[in-house]
Amino acid sequence: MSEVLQSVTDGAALGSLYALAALGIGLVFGVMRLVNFAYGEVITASAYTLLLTKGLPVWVRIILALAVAVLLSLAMEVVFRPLRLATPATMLVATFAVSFVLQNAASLGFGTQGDSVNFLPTLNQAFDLGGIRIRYITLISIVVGGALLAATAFVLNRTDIGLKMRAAAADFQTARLLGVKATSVIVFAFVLSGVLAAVVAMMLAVQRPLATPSFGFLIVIPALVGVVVGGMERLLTATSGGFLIGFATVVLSDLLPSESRVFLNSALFGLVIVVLLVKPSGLFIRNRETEERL
Amino acid sequence: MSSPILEVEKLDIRYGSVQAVRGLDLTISQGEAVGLIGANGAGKTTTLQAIMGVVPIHSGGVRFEGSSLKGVPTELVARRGIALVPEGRRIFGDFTVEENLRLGLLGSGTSAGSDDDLAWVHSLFPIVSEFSDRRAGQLSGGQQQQLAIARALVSKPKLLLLDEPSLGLAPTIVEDLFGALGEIRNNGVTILIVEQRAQMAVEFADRTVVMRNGEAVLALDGDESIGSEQMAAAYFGS
Repeated sequence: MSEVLQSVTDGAALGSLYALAALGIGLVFGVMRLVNFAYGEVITASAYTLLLTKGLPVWVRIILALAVAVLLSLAMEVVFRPLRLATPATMLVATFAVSFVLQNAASLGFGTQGDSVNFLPTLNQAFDLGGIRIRYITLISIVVGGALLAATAFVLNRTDIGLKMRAAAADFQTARLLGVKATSVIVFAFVLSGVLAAVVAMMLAVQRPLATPSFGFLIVIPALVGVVVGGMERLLTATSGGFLIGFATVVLSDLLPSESRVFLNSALFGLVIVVLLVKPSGLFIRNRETEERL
Repeated sequence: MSSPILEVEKLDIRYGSVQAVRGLDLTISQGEAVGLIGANGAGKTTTLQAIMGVVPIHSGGVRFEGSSLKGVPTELVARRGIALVPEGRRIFGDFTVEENLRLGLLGSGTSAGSDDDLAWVHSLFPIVSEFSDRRAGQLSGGQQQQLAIARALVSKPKLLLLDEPSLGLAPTIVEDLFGALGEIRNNGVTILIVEQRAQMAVEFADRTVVMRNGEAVLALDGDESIGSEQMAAAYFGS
């Protein structure tokens, strides 16, 4: 019993991280129909910021990690701006290109082996709760993840800029006809997604303290899979999909005997293929909605 | 005659090699209601979209209150005081009625739209206050059209463009709709209306322009009656 609880807690923690990454991807996709593969490099940039600020007070490092992620996210918005009317394929290839350029730049600048960021390592200590060992970072991931998801939901559902973003995501042309400024909505989406990237980077850096050029890429790929599996048309479904992938990764790896764990990713992606065959528009999208959108 | 609010001059619009509008001239004065009719593909909707900056102008010009709209992004055209009620209404079906209205207000840039204006819109279309919390997609077609017009009106537009507002609505509902449009005109809002029900448009508008193959082929004054043969000739060519 306690082993199951242990798995569930750990799964929820990784799931929260993937959910935040999925939300960051989904926010930009919603207003721009752009799947940003280079989102992982925003996370990576935050991790390198933590590396470069080693020795500074924690709050300074947090602020700088946030600032770098938001600035890089905004820079990407400028780079992708001429592509707003481009086909999805063009956009996708462009974000791949940006992703590769940044990963290679990181390899050149920092090497590929990785350096320890030494960010709040004490949070890896565990405490005992009714028989299960919970690390502080596990708890923090779940709490911060949940809080940020709730905060984003609040912004989207209860504020003016959120209403504009939802309108732009639902029907950009009509939103513009009503006077909603395309650029301001898109810029805001990139800012929010930058903040989320920094938070993901920080929580990840505690647990995997090695900053490498593929630090964020390795998170964004499964998160993107989650987005697609959940259904990228809606933020809620995209985010749930991200959570599910993270959760399933941990729980499956705990369930599987250690010698078959090498097959974990194959098994997971095999499941993903099945899901996409059965529900191509996403696991959590109701069929009625699919029909309406087709 | 008061000053022109909208001047369309030798407007040419092309989609690739297809010329959708050719050499269209159209001047609308402050407070006027002008109808734009014609067969499908005559260029009516394209003309409205060009005014809003949705489709690019190939040559010629559009001026609003004396300044050119050529190359002005859609959202800024809206903020200058032109509102389009698009074909098919394009309300946000997943949003509440209130959110749809708030978008109209937000988009206008000013948080304005004084309480008086809002009260006026609500009295014109009582359903928007009655069904305030309802999902807009649950409204009937006629109610959605009222919402679409109300959403355009809360931004206090000086010029209201309507694209096929009667499309898909039952005749009695269309009559109510034109009654409301009459009140909007009496309130001083200048109107340019594209309508498939030619007779309704001619009766409603101060004057009506008939388009065919992207050109204005006939202009009718409001009190000028038109025979069906003459109308058919204007629509389809003789």
